[in-house]
Amino acid sequence: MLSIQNLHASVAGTEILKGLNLEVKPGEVHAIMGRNGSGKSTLANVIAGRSDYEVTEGDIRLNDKSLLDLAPDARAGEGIFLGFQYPVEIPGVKTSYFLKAAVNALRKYRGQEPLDAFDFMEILKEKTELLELDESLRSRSLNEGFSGGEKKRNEIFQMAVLEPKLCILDETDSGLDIDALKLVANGVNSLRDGVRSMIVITHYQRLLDYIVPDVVHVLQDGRIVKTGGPELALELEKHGYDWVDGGAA
Amino acid sequence: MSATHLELAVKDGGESCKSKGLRAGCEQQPRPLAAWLAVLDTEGEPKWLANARRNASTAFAQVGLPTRKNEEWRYSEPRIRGLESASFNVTTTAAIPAGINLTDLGIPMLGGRTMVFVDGDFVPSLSSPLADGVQLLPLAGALADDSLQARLSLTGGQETGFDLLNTALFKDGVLVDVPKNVDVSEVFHLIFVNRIPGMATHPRVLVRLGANSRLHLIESRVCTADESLSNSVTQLQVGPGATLHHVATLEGSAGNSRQLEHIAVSVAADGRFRSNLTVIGSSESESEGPSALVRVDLDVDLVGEGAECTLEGLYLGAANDHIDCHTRIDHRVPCCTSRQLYKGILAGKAKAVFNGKVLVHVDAQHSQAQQSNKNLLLSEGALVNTKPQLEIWADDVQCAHGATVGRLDEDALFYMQSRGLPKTEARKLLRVAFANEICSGVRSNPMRAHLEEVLASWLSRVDASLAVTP
Ligand SMILES: Nc1ncnc2c1ncn2[C@@H]1O[C@H](COP(=O)(O)OP(=O)(O)O)[C@@H](O)[C@H]1O
Ligand SMILES: [Mg+2]
Repeated sequence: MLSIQNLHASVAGTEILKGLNLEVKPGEVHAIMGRNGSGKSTLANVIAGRSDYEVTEGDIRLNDKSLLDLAPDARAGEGIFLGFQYPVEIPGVKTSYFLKAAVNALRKYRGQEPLDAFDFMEILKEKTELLELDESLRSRSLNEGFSGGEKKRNEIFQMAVLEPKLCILDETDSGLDIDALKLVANGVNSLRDGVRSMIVITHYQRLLDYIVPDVVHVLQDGRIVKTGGPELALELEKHGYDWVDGGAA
Repeated sequence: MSATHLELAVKDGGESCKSKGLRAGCEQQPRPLAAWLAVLDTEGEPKWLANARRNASTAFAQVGLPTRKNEEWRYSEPRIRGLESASFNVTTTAAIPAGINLTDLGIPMLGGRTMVFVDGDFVPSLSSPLADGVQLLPLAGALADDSLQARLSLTGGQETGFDLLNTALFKDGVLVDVPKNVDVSEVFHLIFVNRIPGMATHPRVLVRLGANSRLHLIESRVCTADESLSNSVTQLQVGPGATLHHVATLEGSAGNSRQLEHIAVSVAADGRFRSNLTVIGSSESESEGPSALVRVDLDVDLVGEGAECTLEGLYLGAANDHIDCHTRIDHRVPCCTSRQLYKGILAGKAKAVFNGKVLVHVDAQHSQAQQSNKNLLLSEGALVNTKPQLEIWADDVQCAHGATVGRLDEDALFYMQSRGLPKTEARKLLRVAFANEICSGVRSNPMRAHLEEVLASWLSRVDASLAVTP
């Protein structure tokens, strides 16, 4: 599904990712853990194609097609979805209007007919229930005035509507109470279908109790320094990131 | 209004010469503005009006048009320089061609009551005046009433040369009188179209709402006449406990035209005034020559305790447009509230000015004033001068103001793109969202729909011109 080879990326002239390798197979869920500032969000943004990050070396391939020359919307068309660590508030753009535009833009990219209003509303309704979102959120401006938890749930809601091939969730757990966390995990798990892949970025092990990963990586200073199974997350929780420093040194 | 009413009748060429004061116009000699004052012919007009015109003319001879030295006019000045000596026609004998309709000029049909003026002349066939308790009349026919004298004077005695010109030379306009305790259910729609090149018009609008009345007043002003001047003065008096919702749209798409409107409002105790203003320049990217100046001065006097005003404005400038939006709010007595939000989108080499002044006078304790101006620049060459000003002489007040000038939020663009929207579409959505905040305040559904349409088509024209410019 996703293959990242020797990825170097910098922002404003500073190299942040320093030779990162990652292979994610179809249907797998990978967790990426690491300290604040280790480069997790940078990795997510680089995959999604944010233009202020410059890839200086290496490649990112989705199903054997390089993404590097594609604009963010084309990457979305190829099946990438990024759930933002800090979802942006967009006053004046209604969530439902935006999502419909997004769904149809993706369909157009894939050479499909646009969805009619009725089918679209059906999907919205179903996914709203899945995430136990308040109906009114859809008619409000995108993320405007949403609480932290509402914003994160709204990200997963959008992901559920857009049905991507590769989901990248950047600290979706931060700022969630335990009930919201369960809802989010439930939404994510419902999208695990053995084909769709996921990269779950988190600082804490807690989320991984609910979204059980196949593989856990530790990111440090722009590189993956340790890879293991779900038990790696538990060890990190017990010993802290210093434990990896010792192990990697 | 039926579709046939949209057709402008072929007019008898002599008709417009019947108007008083300006019979000299029948000679059809273009003259400089000052010369028009010199030939002022007030014969047959009521004495009070003849006096008022002569006084204005004398005052104009002293103050002239605003100059660079006048801070409020600094940025407009290059577009009005030498205007006194530019020649204009002030009446026309040109027939209005049949088959032209208002819809083609981009004027929405809103139902309700309509008053239409073309090149300064009242067009009865398109208008639906009222004279039954509530009055909606052509001003020219109502001037025998000398109580209008008081309503003609602008408060503060700070009339500019343009105000004086208007008083001296106005030919017609609209008189609205709503007695107390009347909730006017019909929308009043005033339409001013300027089509003939080289014309100067000075429409005057006088509106008075009695205590506890309500009115929804919409103005559409469209100028397609090159080298023309439209110099309007609109006076709105909101009585105690009354509510006036005023929606005004000015479009100045003609080359080297000047479209000016001074809106002077007074709001009595517990009265409410709500203004939605949309100012649109040209947006023809090709026009490199001198292009339109559109300027609106909106002055609101809060003169009774508990008076409130909400001013929302949107200005859209492209190409070589110059748009000036000035507001001035006087909190003269305690416990008044003012809110202000003006937004601008500028492309090409357009220039805009937002100059918003809020004055809280010394006795005006417990005033609340909020003022905000936000601008979006779409190109390197676009420019905005924003000057929000608070002048506070009372000590117990809540006031806040701010201004921003920026480009589209890159984070928002990336967010939308990452969900699949192409960048052009994401941009468009963000721009529409930016401006719609103002349109959404318009309560007349057809007018709001019209504004949203105007906005969308302006944005796509601008988008197209941005795409061709490297
Ligand atoms: N846009 C940016 N401009 C400058 N520095 C940045 C930018 N984005 C990230 N960085 C820097 O890159 C490093 C990694 O940041 P980030 O990827 O956000 O880490 P994480 O998500 O793991 O906390 C940090 O040192 C951060 O300051
Ligand atoms: Mg991060």
